[in-house]
Amino acid sequence: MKKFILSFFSVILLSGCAIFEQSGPIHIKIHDSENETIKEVSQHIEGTKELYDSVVVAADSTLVISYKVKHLYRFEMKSIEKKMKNWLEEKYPEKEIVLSSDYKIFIELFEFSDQWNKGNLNEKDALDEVEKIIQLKKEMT
Amino acid sequence: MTGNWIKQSKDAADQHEIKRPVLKNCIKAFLVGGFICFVGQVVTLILILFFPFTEQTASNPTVAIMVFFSMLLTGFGFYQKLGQFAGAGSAVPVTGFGNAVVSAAIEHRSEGLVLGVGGNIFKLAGSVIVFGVISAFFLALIKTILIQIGVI
Repeated sequence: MKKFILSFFSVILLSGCAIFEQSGPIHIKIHDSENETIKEVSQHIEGTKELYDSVVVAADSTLVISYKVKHLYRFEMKSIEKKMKNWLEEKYPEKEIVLSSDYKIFIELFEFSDQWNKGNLNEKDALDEVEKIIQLKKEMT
Repeated sequence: MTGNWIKQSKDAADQHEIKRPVLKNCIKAFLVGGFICFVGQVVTLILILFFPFTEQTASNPTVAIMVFFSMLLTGFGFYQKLGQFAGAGSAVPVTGFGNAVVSAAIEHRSEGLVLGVGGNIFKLAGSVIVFGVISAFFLALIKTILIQIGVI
């Protein structure tokens, strides 16, 4: 019984580590014209030492970015987000920019990228899906 | 003369008093409170992974679920034992709220449903609600004023 309880709790405890796992930087362009954007943004994210994992989705009108913040820098999350937002808005004033460090948004974008790379989605479906994720991010309660 | 007598008896009482193990109590409270928060974190993670909640929106349902858990545990009689062992460690997290509500309801069950349970259910937890609402009101007031002025 004791062994069972111990193993049960260790499984739960260790499964928490999955959050910090790096899924690798992922870049998706829905329209081919966004090659340049993706390159610039991913370079900027790589240059930021507080971040370690990112998903960038670029369409003609929107730019969705999700990132993970290194644990020691989580106290500065607000200022990191502000810096990123300012940089992006200056660089791409004509785009709607959605920026999130939320884990849920990260998972959703990751799943979306999976679907997209398998070729299950056409352009319209992809835009709908991205719109859904943006709505989820805007939800407050 | 009387002052001397009071001092003497106080000294005698102090000699026989058992010292409170403050450090031990603190460690117990820390461990149990931390464990409760750990369970809360697991609930949050489950809500994020399997339900459409984000990190920001998952906190409210997590609180509700934790209160529900502690209500169940109180009803089955486990939470009292935990409270005796951990003290503030089990009372300070939000689970203490559920415990306060249900234990008051159980205590006054014999006085009937309306005047007993209904009248006394918020006997202990009522102050949490009152001061929570009041402080939320004033904080919202301050925030509104600051936004109107343009500070935030």
